[in-house]
Amino acid sequence: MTPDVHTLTGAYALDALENVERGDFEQHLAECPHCTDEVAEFLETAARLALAVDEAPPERMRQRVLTVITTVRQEPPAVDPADNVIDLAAHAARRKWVTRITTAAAVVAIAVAIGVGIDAQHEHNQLQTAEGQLSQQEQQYAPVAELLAAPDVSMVTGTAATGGSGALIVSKKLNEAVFVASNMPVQPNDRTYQLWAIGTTGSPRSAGVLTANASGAVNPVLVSTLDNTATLAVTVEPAGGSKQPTTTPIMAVSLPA
Amino acid sequence: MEDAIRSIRRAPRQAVTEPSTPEELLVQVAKGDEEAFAQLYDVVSGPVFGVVRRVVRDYAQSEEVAQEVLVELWRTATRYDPARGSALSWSLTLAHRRAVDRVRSAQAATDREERVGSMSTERAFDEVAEAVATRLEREQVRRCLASLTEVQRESVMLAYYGGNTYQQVAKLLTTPLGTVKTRLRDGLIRLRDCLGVTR
Repeated sequence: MTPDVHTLTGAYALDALENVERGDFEQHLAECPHCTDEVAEFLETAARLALAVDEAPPERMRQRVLTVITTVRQEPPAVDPADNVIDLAAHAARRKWVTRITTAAAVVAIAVAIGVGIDAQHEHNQLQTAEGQLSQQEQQYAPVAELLAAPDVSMVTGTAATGGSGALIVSKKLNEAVFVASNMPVQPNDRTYQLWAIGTTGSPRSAGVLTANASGAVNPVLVSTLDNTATLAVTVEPAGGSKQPTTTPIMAVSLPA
Repeated sequence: MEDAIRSIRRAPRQAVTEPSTPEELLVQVAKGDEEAFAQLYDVVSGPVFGVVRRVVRDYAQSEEVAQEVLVELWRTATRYDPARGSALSWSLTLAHRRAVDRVRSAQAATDREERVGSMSTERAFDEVAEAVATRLEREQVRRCLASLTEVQRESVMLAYYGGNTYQQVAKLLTTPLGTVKTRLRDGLIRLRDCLGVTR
């Protein structure tokens, strides 16, 4: 926990973070119990600011809402302990080796899945490279391993209009997905790829910016709360990302129903 | 038939003399209890609409957003865990988030820099302060807001009631980003302590 990240608890609780930064901070929250406690207290405090501006809604709204809800199905409750942060942390040490092995498999599986088209020679090299970089990549790919182990894991792929392809590994049960891509043309310094979670209602949520390395591979991006997300889309945005998409998506992948 | 089911459902609650807390109501709502939802609506709809109005301002749009929030509250009640916070905090966090989503997606269509730049600090802050000052119904919140330093209060109010990002607050107040982050956190710490908020 860097002191700088920690000071964002206030801005976060007041919804004063832009989407990209909010996403990053939420990832930080998952591993910072102290910040989580502070944010919870701040949210209670912010709620008091809302109570102070209490205003009676128009009378017609009550009947409308009470009628609408009779036609709206409630979300199933989260029953998987995987969304319990503390549980995950407690298991992390024990699962280290399992994760390592599954991670190696994941790296290869993804490479194959998104049609990198590796021949035997390359495969050998790639495996060695994968193993060599595993300790660095472990953190990046651990969510992938986690997902691959989910009972309802599935994968969908897409190709980009501008070249390159992507794969989305999804578990509805974990409410998570990981997006990986390869052969994406490298963007000039002032542009970046950005991933968006598009729901059945509401505006697109940024799921983070994608940085393509020289070989066109991008960092895997974890979408940790899918909720009502129906589609993941990639756009090209000004460096640093945008709050909302400003260009037409170059790739869109629909989640399995 | 449906009426019969409703009256059976209602029976045990009538035996309870104490009114249900918002937490108990929300837990009931998670089980699909429409009656509990109606009660919860009566508790939270005022603050929900109030906070959405502060941020969105436009009456018709606020009504639309508030209605979406209340339906979402029904839909996602299944994810509420009383151990993680109060039902009011859960509801109002959602309301504020959706209000902010609405104003920011509207802003994205325009040149945001220009928009922020053309708004003078005085006007932006006075609008918010005036709207809130006339509506502050809770003496304690008013007193506690008054206990913040001037710069903390400005920052917190522009962020929360104004729906601004901390970058926008920094621009409005001509203050470095790091300073605004710190003010927001310090302001909330002071407010929290003054209001005696605990989890």
